[in-house]
Amino acid sequence: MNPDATYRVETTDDALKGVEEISGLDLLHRGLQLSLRGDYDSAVIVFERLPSAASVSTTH
Amino acid sequence: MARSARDRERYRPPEKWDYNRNWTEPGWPEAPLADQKKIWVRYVQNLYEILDRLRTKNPKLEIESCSGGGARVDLGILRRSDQVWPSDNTDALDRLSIQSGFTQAYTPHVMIAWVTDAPDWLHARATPLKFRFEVAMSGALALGADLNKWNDEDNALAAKMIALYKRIRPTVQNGKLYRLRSPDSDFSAVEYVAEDAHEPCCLHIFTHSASDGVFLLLSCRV
Repeated sequence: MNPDATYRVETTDDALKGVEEISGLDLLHRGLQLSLRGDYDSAVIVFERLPSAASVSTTH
Repeated sequence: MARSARDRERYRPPEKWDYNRNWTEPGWPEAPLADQKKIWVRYVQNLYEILDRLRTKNPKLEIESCSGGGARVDLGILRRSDQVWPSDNTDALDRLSIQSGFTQAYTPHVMIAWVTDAPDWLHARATPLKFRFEVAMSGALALGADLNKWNDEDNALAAKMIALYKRIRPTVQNGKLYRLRSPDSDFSAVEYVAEDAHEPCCLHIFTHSASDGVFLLLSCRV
């Protein structure tokens, strides 16, 4: 995980927002807190690294 | 609705090689003992030959082999089929262990994983539909449930899960698989990481038994 990158995090866990953008630094140091409880609970969490501002080309 | 000629051309029904009755008295007493045993080898050779013929005749044919069906999951059958059926046991909790074992040898790409009805036929265990989906999304997701029994809420959940799976499918089926926590405990986790850092990677977590109040820490490989 790159602490300087931003990640789009999508999850099926109820405790988290469906989709949010989180910095790599936050993910490395704070992580994600899930709300899995009891038998047969589950979550899929998708991490997608967003292009950095420097690498996004712009047209005028 | 009638299919157009173009649709009919595009749609090629897959072939499933099934096998639901094991031999009980193979061989024949008049043959030498060594020859009687050949039936097991001949069966596999003939199965391969039939699949090869089907492939030659229709190269785009999708073939699914049942582990009970071909009576085997091995590199020989994988050369001739697209996907294989790891077990008739589709109970989602058992499936976590089955899938963990299967993927020690074979890729999730070939591992058919059905969402089936609950309670399941083997244990009568009622697992939530979301859990069943997310277990099956760890392999090649497919539906094997009676959709006529699903309500609007089930259908909405299925649509959401299938849309999510389509996004992560390349990573799940072709990425690197990390086993973060074994199914032999109160919860398990697997992670799939794509070769390209910009492709999505995904973490699948499952609780097997009540673990309320337990602080769990997982380190990912994003």
